[in-house]
Amino acid sequence: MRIKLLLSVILLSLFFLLPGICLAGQEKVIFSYDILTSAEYQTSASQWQITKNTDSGLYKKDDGMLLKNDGNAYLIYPFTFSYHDYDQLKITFYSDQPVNLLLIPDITTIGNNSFELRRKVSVSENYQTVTFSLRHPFFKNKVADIGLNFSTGLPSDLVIKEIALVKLDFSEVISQIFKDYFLVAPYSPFTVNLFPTPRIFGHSALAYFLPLIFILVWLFFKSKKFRKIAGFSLLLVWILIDCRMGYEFLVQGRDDYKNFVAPALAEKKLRTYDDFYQFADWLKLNLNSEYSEINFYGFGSAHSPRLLQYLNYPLLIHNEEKTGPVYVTYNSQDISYNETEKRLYLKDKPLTEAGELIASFNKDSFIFIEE
Amino acid sequence: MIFAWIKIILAILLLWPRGYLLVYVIDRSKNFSFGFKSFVAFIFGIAAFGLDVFGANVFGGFKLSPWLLLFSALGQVFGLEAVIFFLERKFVYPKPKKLALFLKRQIQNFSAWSIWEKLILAVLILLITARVIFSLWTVVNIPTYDFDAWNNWNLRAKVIYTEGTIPLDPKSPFYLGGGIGSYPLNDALFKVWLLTAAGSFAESYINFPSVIYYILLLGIFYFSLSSKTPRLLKLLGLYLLSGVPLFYFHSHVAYADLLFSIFLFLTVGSLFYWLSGRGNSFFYISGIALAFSIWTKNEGLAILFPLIFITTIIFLVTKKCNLKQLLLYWFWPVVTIFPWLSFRILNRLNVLSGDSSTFQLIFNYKFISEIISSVFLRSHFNLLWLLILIIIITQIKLIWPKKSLRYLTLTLAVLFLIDNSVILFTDKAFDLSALARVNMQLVPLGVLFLIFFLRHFFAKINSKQVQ
Repeated sequence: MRIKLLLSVILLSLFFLLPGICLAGQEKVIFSYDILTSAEYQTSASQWQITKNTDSGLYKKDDGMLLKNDGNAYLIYPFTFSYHDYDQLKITFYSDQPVNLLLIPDITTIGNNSFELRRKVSVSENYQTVTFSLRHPFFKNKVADIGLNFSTGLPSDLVIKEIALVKLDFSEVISQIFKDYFLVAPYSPFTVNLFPTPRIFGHSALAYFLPLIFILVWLFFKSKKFRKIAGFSLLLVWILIDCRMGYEFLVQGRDDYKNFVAPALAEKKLRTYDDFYQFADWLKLNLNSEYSEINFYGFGSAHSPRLLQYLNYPLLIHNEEKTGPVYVTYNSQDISYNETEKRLYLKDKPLTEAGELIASFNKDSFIFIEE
Repeated sequence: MIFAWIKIILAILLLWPRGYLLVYVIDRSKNFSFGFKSFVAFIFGIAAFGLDVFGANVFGGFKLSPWLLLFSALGQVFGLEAVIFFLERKFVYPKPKKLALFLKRQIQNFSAWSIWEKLILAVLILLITARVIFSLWTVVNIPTYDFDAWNNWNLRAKVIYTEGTIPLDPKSPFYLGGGIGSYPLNDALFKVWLLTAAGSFAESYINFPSVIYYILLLGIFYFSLSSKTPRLLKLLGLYLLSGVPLFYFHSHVAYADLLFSIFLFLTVGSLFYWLSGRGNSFFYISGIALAFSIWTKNEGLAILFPLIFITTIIFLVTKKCNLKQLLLYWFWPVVTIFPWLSFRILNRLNVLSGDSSTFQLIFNYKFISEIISSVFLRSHFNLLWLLILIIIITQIKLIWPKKSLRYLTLTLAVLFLIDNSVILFTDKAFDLSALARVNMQLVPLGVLFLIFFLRHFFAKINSKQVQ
């Protein structure tokens, strides 16, 4: 009886695992110098496109292709597949600027987005391989295309050697479960309300353990024999989640230490607000205390005027108004200083009367005071 | 810097005597343990101090000078001592001999613990210490980051501290300190007190109270459990509460939800203890905690007040309390919260956080899956709400006959349903940002339910085995 049961379990397991085992290790290269220069690709309707970039060409460099990135280039490829076909996307490249790399399924239609499909890649002269798990609800149904966003802020040279889609074997899928479970979402202004993680294959991790938890609770209440074991097991699950969430806090603390606490003053960056807190401190130091209000023109977070109001109170912040003589900009590329007229321009139109540029935090962040 | 921190610690300690005396006055039936009184004293001291400062500034026109703040921190000590003298013909003052005796008794009790209990306690203390150290590191090193912290809670404290008064011009963007005008000022005025003590503004000073709230809540929770509760169950409760992820997370986020959850726990939990037969003092302290919850967050007035009002009427109808007790229950909270409540009414502040004049009932069916996911399936609350839901559904027959546990279950369920119904059935859901946080406020009550259910469950099993 027991042998029959064991055999049934083995056969059933094989039935479910066989397709995975047979297809495991399959890799489809969709981007490389050889592919892009092949005659088949040249005549194909499905070709890589570069968008939101001045230069839409790719150039041979070393054994890869050079993309001259203005700072926020997209690489788009029309290719239909789901996670039943491939489990992982692998990209091998290097960049001369730090890159926020984002994989976007169905980029030309829905443009789905999740923290699991984001990676931060550091500057390097050697190729680095970055992987994205495709075991995510976004890839459950066939996607029509995928996009890769290379956000570097500043212009950069990216050399891409290869992009491939990979079918993982069973053990690799299992290891992906652990990788997913311990992936920590970056701290955002919304974290105070909820944690996106831990997730497995894009779903809340706890959902996978519900049957186990139900069985343990049932045993705890109904079975005299297994009550102790069930009780301790529930406590163990609690402790496991506690450890996982403790890990989350430690990772966030480590990131804060690395990006904000440890760096020198000029290089401090806080979570999603980049160097805004340093900018606020710089403004305190460089604006004469005789001025009690400013007109603020910021770029980036919609929160920045209110946040600046908190950080620099009692200074009054008027968001994109023309109240008083002081104008302060933060990373605003729409505003420029005209040296000959000595006034600020908002795009093509004059914004201020003639005045003086008092101090600059960076190229697009400065204090200007009308005469 | 170190001197500023010493002054901040002293400022917190200075609020303790008046809080202790207030709890002492409430404890007419001598039902509270010293540990419970000591921890509640801090939180009552903070809230009562803030109300005094508010009254003196808004109604008395006094500027928030260091002297006014110091007087507000200590002045009531004399008033409360007079009340105690009137009631007991004695003064309460620190008695080192009694304290030494108390400590000796604790050590003796501790030596009677089994080696396992000692080990578990040691691990738990280490764990909580590690959590507190991490939170301290965060508040000291990271400036105010989270939205409502700089848009409301800390902004108000910074504005009031900088101006030296509570701004009262309704047209000003900094009315009552700025942000959403209807938010109560308990948290902000405590922060103003700490900044005044430090002598300057710093992000670390203004973010520090969150850690204090976390420690106080753990202390209040642990010492509120009766001595009849098995030690291991008490330690288990403390462990579960200390690490509920979103709850712990708020120990380093400058929001007022953690502070509110203390008063919510004291309001509902004390009624539970009273129903469990722990004495009338728990009945009356619940009312004062309710008043302070209204002084802390709008949920106190909009959700907790009506619920407790109906609950106490049910107590009267079912003869669990008499009319005199009921009137006494409500008299002191009304007196306590009068300055803030009258100000609210006179200035027509909204009951809810936003504009409550255009409240509409709708069905946000699209949020159902998000609510289920947020409460049960993400790890915000570990297994807490999942276990509570299963226990209530499957063990209601065991819960129902025990009136105190029945009360706790019903109250918890009603609060849970109201909080989530605001999200599900009104147009005030906005972007669901408050969803997990309102459920977080109920966490201490949830853990209390879990611990007392387990105690009841094991007692039932043991009695069956004996039979």
